[in-house]
Amino acid sequence: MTSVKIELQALRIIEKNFYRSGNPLGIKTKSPAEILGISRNECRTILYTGQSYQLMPYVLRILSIIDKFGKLEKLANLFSNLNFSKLIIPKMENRFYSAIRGAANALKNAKIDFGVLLNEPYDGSLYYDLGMDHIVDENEKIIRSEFEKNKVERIITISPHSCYMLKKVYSLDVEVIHIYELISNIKCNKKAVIHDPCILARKLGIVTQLRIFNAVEPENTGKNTLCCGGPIEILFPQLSLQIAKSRGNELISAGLNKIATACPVCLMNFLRAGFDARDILSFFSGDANED
Amino acid sequence: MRIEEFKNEIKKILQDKNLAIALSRAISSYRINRAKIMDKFPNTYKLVEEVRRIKEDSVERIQELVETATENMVENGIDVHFAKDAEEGRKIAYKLLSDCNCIVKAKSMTCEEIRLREFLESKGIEVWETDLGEFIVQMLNDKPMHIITPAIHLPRETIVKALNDKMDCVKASNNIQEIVKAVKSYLRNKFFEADAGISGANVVAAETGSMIIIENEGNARLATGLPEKHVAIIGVEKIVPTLSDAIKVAEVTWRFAGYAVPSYLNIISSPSKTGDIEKIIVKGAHGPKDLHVVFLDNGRIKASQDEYLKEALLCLRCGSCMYECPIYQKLSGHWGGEVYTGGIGIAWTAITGGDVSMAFLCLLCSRCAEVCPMKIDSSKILRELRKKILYKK
Ligand code: SF4
Ligand code: SF4
Repeated sequence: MTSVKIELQALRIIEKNFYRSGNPLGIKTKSPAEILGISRNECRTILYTGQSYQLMPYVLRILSIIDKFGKLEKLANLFSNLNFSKLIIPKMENRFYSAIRGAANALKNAKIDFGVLLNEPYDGSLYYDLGMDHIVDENEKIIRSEFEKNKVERIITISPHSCYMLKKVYSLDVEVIHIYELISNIKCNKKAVIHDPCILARKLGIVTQLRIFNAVEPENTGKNTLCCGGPIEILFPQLSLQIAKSRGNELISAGLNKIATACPVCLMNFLRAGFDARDILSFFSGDANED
Repeated sequence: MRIEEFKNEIKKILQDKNLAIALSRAISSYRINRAKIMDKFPNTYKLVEEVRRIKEDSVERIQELVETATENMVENGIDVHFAKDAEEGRKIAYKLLSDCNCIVKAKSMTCEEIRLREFLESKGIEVWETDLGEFIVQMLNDKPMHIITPAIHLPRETIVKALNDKMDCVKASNNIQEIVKAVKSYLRNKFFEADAGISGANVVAAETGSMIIIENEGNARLATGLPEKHVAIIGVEKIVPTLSDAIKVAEVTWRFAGYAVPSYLNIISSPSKTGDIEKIIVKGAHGPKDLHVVFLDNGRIKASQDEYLKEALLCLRCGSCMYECPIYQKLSGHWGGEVYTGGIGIAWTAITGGDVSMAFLCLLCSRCAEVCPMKIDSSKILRELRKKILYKK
């Protein structure tokens, strides 16, 4: 790894942060227990966030700083020995936390019992995407031991990236279900243009299950969805932003300015590009502003 | 690594208004055409499954098919050569063409891969690209930005300006019809003057020793039919077992390239010949007397053993995945390998040798797999390539 020249610092920092905090940003994220105000119960079924929704408000902030001050490398230089979480204030965090609250409410409505992990490990998806498999392997061990310690038998994921990692990458001895497979019978009448996350639609085949609200279909929808540009936001922020703008404009040209999606990365990138975006799960959060 | 310099270029590319205009025009007409065509030929979707099986089987038997194709071509009177890499490909081609002053060339990514035109030009041979898009790229000293539509990145206004500057004898106007007419008249004499024609092939049938060249302009027909000599440079992954397999592959290729049916389907199996006088066969009736095929390996046979790269060998070079890739839609052929563009182009660069660091741009969104007739998921290949870069494999 040390001889890697490409995006040298960005990749090194992302790697170093794993050993510092277990996630690519090197920060301590809020646990789902904190966000939901519950403590772990003995339930063998766990609602797992994989830290994904909690990391994105920080990514959003970091990107807005990059947009203003230039490359990540410069920023990383400044902060490399400091604690990110003390310096970077998350941006629009409620848009992300409300998805977690919405997930919990939707499961309650569907009468599904679940608990959360107090010490919830990161899902490892960014490391996997970047091809940093030595960290993916380590992360798998951490997840396995946490699941075993808590006698977890069934996992309900809410981020498509977490679901993909747990279902298709790691070989864990637990049942993995994505939340929309459990709540597709619940309906709400909130109206928004739907953006299908690529991983969910194409790699996990979850499309109809998302249509639990009054979804307006844009061009390029379902399995034919177009990417939000989010996955390359750290390495190529400008390109990522332009892709989000194009896709966002395509979405709102369906006739409505409100966008609803089902992935923290998509949500982050649409918010960054200035669109009125929310997670579908937020519709169930009971938050007044998530109407 | 290319990506390091490229990072600084991205901003400039994103601000290129001409590029954005040209891309959006090309992508929207591709989408309209393709939708119409698929409506008219819904059986194409069934055919792709069969073609995927044909290609899988062919990649599996790649070496055996090279032998069969060679045997049958030789029997048909074709001189067949085998080049293990780009350098050998250039050497063989030069040996076959060193006596030529003027060459006309049909569009071929395989020739591009070994930089054949530039090489022959460096030896003092005049080589003319005769496909309109390639001709424009040649005139602009640019690189082909799409495997089917090489000048996809240029709006008509830029093309006219460049052609007016370069083609002293013809003045083209802003009207596309006029541009085509001007280039046609400019190239007309070159076809007659040429000592040889160079082409690639879209697919080869081993059993009959035939190559198929799909085209719309008629330039490949002229370039391979008029001069006394025809040299075809063909990647070994293009070989399939039978002629009926080859036709199926060709049909899926043109459909996904956005054509209901191509204007011309050239099937070439031997040099031109006649037996009209006393049934005695004489070569070079109206077409070329000499026909040479250079089968190019350049990493393909090795790739056929690689779990990930062998998938890329199934590629028909239809170009669909590029039109529909979100990164390509922003950067055009600036994204990809030096020769082959787009996500699949990076996989092809891994096969044929070159810098693959651009793999880090991929969104891993698999949109390419959704629109690809062969269902090739470049994201899987590119993630593997990232690993290779990181771990210096
Ligand atoms: S997976 Fe990569 S190559 Fe394929 S469409 Fe997405 S960005 Fe393009
Ligand atoms: S990867 Fe598929 S879509 Fe892309 S050029 Fe090849 S065959 Fe066509």
